[in-house]
This record gives sequence, C-alpha cells and structure tokens, in this order.
Amino acid sequence: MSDPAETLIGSTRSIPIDFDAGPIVGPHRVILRALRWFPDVWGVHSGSQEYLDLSYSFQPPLTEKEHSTDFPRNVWTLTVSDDIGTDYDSSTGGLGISGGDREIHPAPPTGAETLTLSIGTPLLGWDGHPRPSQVVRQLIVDLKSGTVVSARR
Amino acid sequence: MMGCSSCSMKPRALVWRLSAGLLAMSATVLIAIPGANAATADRPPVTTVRSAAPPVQSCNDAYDQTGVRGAGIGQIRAVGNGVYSFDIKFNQDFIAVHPPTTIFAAGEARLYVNGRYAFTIPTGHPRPIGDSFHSTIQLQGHKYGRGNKKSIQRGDSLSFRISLLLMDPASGTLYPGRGTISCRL
Repeated sequence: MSDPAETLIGSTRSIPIDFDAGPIVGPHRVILRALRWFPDVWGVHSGSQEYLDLSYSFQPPLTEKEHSTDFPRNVWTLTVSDDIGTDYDSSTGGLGISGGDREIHPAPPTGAETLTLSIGTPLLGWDGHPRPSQVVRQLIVDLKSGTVVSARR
Repeated sequence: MMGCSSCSMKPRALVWRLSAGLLAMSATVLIAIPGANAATADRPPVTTVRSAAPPVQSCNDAYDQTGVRGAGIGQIRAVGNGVYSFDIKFNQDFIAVHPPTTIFAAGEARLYVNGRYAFTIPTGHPRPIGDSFHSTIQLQGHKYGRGNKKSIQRGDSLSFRISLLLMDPASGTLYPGRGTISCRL
C-alpha cells in the first residue's frame, strides 16, 4: 500500500499529528499521521456535510500474512469526543500492510474547540482471542490552532 | 461475485464524489472479469460436489462465499460482547487480474435481518485496492425497523449485501461488484 496520506484526495483541511501511540497491534507501532476533513457524499452517518479522517502507519509494516490472518487483531480502537459533547462514530476505516485510516463522523461542529482522540488496543488480541480494549493514549487537538496540545497515557 | 463494465471517461474527470451514483450502476451492469473466476451474489458458491444448499454459517466467523475462487470479499467475525468486525478485502489472485492503478472507489454493505432491511455501512472515500475496509459494529441489541421497535438477537438470520465499485483512473474503466455474507447470529 502507498502512504495512506497520499491516497486521500479531496480533503478540505488538515492537521498534522505525527504521534507514536506505541506497539498496540502486536509488535507493530501505530504512528498517527494527520487529521483531514472530507465532504460526506453519503451523509448516512449523521447528515453532516463533512467527516474527519485520521491517517496512520504501522512501524514496522504488517506482513501479507498478518494482514490476512485474524484481521480484527489489526484494528486498534478509537474513541472520539469534544468539549461540547458531540457524538462521534469512529467505527470504520481502511487498513493496508503499511498503515491505514480511520473515519470520524461527523466533522466537529464549528463550536467545538478541542477534539480528544482516545487510542486503545484491538478487541482481538494478537493471539487471536477476544479481549476488552484498553485505552493506551489520549491526544487533545486544538481545532482552532490546528495543533496537538496534549498527549498522555 | 465480481464483475466489470468498461466506461469511457477522462481519467482526470474521475472525481470520487461521483462514486455514489456510479455505484448504483453496479446492480445492473455486470460482466465477468476474465480469469477471475467470478460469480454473482445470487449464485451459490462453486463446489466440486453438488449439494442442495451451502451450510449455514455462524456470524461468529462468516464470509462471503460468492467471491473469487470462494474466498469472497467480505468477512464478519465476533470480537466479544455482541460486537462484530466486518471487513471487505480482495485476495491477491483477484488483485493480480486488475491494472496496478485500480482503486477501491466506493462501496456499501446493506444489512438485512430475517429479510428485513436494518442499516447500511458505507465505505467512505476511495482506497488502494490492496487495503481492507473495516467496520466494528454492535449487532446484538441493535435497533432496527420502523420506529426502531425491533432489535437484533441471537438466532436471527443476517444477510450483508455488499455492493462496490473499483475504478482504474488510468484507463477510465469501472469494475462494479457484489457479494453477500449470509449467517446466523
């Protein structure tokens, strides 16, 4: 797969993230790359006209076998919130051997000032068995300045 | 499962916003891809032994049996507490018969519960053909139907009807496709 950030055309705004969330997919580190705004042509999630996309990469990349075996163990969990209580759906995304992206529906409303991204372990362990996700990192993004203002465990 | 149609378009004019409309074409314009051993969604999987019907799959680990060489394009798997992982991906044999510039432009999965429509999972923006689309969904207890009066329960018969559109911007070729995952919760 090519760089996920390069495959996304049509974004209207972006915020660089560049944050290492650690080895949460087996031995593979998850590196958050950028948040991008896209027009929501389906509009089925919320009726909103835009959504966010969070791109990331794996370090090292997955092998083809890892990509195709026990697929859910590669899908780390993402929970999103903001300072005005918006409900976000972050349950979908794309995933290749070198990284992927997560969709966040809807895009934050204009009144939101900060966005919190909670990064968690996959619902399927690296051994292939289901286990509850654990939040390992939290990022707070200042939507007005377009910067990451806080990152904590 | 997969089919194709050739449509003349200027490569630069392949704006992904048109994907939703083009996807609708996929239900009516299907031509088999040479070498892909493709089958349409309403055909049973090809087997060497003639059988009356394919076995009922458990939604704990079910896949689209109408796909390329039986590998399918969709899979559903339980990940605990009534939550399921749904994904769409193409196998290497299938990818190999397409131009390297082909992308996974758009798609959706419509979920039917005991034959009644429940909800749709859209795939969002275009992605490389080698990438998988995935969705984590709370199936058990999910409200659906008129007035959201019904809820998905164990024992329900589920059908994920997948429609998708591949696109080669370099040649202006579209490849619509379909697949179905049928399983019992």
